[in-house]
Amino acid sequence: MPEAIATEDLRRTYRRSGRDGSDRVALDAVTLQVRPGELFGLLGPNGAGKTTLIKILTTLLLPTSGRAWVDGLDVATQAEAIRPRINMVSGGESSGYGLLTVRENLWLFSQLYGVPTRTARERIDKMLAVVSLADRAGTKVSQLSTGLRQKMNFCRGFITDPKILFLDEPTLGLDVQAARAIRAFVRDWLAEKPDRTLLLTTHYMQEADELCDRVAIIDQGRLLACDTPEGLKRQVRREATFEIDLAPGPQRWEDLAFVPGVVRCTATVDANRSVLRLALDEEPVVGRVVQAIVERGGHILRLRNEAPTLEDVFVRLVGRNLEAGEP
Amino acid sequence: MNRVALFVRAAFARAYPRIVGLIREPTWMIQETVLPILAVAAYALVYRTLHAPDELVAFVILGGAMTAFWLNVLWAMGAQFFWERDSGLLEIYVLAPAPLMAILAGMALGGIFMTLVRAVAILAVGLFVFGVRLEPSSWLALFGVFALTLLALYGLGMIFASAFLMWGREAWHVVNLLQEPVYLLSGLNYPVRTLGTVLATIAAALPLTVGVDALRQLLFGEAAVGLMPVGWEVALLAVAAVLFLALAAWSLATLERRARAEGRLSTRNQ
Amino acid sequence: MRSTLAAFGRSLAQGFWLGWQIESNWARPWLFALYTLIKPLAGTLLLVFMFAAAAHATGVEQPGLLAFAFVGNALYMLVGAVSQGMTTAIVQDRESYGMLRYVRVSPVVFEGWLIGRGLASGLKAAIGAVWTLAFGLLLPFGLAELLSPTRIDWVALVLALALGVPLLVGLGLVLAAAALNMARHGAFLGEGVGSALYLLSGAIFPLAILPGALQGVATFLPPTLWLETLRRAILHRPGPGPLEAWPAGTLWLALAAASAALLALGWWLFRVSDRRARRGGRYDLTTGF
Repeated sequence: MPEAIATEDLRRTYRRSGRDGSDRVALDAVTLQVRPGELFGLLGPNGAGKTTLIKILTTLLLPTSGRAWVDGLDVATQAEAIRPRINMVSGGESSGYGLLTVRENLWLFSQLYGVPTRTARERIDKMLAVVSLADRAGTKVSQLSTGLRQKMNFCRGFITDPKILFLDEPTLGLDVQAARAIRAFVRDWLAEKPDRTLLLTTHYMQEADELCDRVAIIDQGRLLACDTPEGLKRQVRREATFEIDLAPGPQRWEDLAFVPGVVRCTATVDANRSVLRLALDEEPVVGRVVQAIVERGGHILRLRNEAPTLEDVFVRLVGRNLEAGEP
Repeated sequence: MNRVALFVRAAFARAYPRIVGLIREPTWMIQETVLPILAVAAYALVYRTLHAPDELVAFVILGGAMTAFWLNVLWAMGAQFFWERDSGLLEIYVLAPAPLMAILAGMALGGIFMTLVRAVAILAVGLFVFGVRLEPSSWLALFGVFALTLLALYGLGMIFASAFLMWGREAWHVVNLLQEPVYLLSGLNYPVRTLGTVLATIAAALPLTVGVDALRQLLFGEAAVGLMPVGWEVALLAVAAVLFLALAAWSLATLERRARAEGRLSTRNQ
Repeated sequence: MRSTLAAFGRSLAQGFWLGWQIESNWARPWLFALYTLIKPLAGTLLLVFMFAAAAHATGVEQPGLLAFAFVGNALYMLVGAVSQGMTTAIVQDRESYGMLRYVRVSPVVFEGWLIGRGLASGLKAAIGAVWTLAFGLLLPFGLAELLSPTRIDWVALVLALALGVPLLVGLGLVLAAAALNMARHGAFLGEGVGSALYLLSGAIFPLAILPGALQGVATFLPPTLWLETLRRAILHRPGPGPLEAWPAGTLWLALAAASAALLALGWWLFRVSDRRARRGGRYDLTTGF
């Protein structure tokens, strides 16, 4: 079975659009594979090349060099064969015919994919319920707020039942509740059919961490890393780290370092508390440490898992955090 | 997926907003009836001032009615991708499996009612205000030539539309530029022969010129001062229709590919 | 007062700059020049060929009427340009660029900004009009003599043009007021009203040909008065029709009064429309069908 999505040395430049009039490189030798059934995340700051990559994969843009395939079909030469199998939703998108209702707009888009009207109606009703827009189905789009139009456009991506779906920052600008509902729906949608694949771009770390089977980190057009979220975090820090606050007492805690599985233990003591910083072989070792503390009469005030985040991964790879923009 | 069924579904779907818009925003009625009549009446009154024969007044009325279709071709189809790009819809159309020609056909279909209303209003003024008489030698031939002219014109419109895949404002201005010179060359208000041999020959390349000339000959006979026999004009229109539609298909595919290569499909707010 | 005028002037200048950029920066200068010159010329040559066709059919050439129509048509472009420029600015900025709401909430004097946009279109039309009139010197039917620059009353021409500015601005504001509360096809309102005025202002034929009641209304339309004033300055004689017997002084007074009245009306209507648009949330309306 071919990969759902594959790229090989994919490059895209824009002529004379760099600051000094030189060509701007939007994508630089990007090679990746997405397996069928995978929820694949593309993480990177603004201007990293995420949208450029999506536009190439959705046949809206041709690569300057290199190749890309979607469902085994070449994006440059087989675009017409690809289009019935895919769909795309861009976050922050408020496209639509203002004079038509939500339902009419969605119906119109379904017809571009040859979806029978009865089927389209059923899918529209289902999707509108997912995004809590069912009560506005008969409202003209011109009367909707930007956020509600975004929800409508989110629905548009699913009513054609694509085999491969591209979501470009789908929760951008949506409220917390809507974003949560969308994330939950996306997981369920993928689980419904094993051959559905989803490529999601985002610059929300938590979203990528929560949803994605694998995440690729991209910056300034280059693919920096690609692994599961856990795998990426392990690259930054191999040990599980914890910080434990203890009530003041006479005990000395440095010898917790001898508990099996503890790599390092440092203790900072003041009048109000003792703070232990532990590096462990693996997360479950913390159970042994807690037991040892309790056996010695220690009183735990707070326990915090200092696991690395994807942002830590990004900073480690790129040298700045996600919101810092270009150096 | 059946390609014909997809074409029909997509065309109808794209016609839908146009049709619905006629009902939900009825202010178009004034701009499509009263106002075009006034413009045509102005030219008719020029001929009356000059004491020109009634046939020349009739030319203006017929020309005005056909202008409605030309404007529909230019603006309601040709330039529509300009608006769709700005609203982000062009990308959605290109991304979809439905062919762009289906989208354009839908636009044409959706706009034709409005255009017909405009044309009929102008003809009505011609008949009832200026006393123009329309007595074709054959109604069947008249509608046949009319349909063939529209087919050729809409094929041309699709070629214009393809330009908007690549270019935004430049294409809009070129389409805008085409309005008056085409009125001039197609002899909408006077016999094409008035332009002289060289210009009239050039003008014969335009389907509007040939179509209007053929319609006039069917309506007014020799008084139409026709450019060439009607049979030749029908043949030219048929060739033009096939050629333009084929060119439109090629142009849409070629310019879409070029727009994808240069990243122009998403360029907004030009 | 001074600061209000300064703010207005700044807004007008900003609107003019933006309008000129939109009109002109889509093409290389030579292409823009070509575009600016071909359109008006083609529109006026259409009339010339109509006259030729009539002359061929009747055997009578009427150079005086041709000159009347030629000058009227060339100058009428200014009417359409300024009024359409403002309605186009409203619709385009609202629906295409999505910027109208941002302009409205900014400290700019909105009317001034809009007028600036209209004047930018007017400048382009003025270039076309001058070029068309100059081209007329090359055409047959005795136009060269009738349009000769040596016959033009330049003082009267400049004064008439100056009086025309508030007239055109007023008309533009009236149409922009309507477009502000209409869907996208409000952009065609300027064109449509332009067509109506084309018929009624005696741009290309003497008003005497119109039915009596209509003639009476048309005679007092501001664009009619303006075109007659301009034609007298260029052709050095009154045009045939109801205004032929009007003394120059009466015509000037009427034009001045009409310009002032139309400007006041346009300003007031625009204010009313603006309030209505804000109540109806029309500043970010998108229709697009």
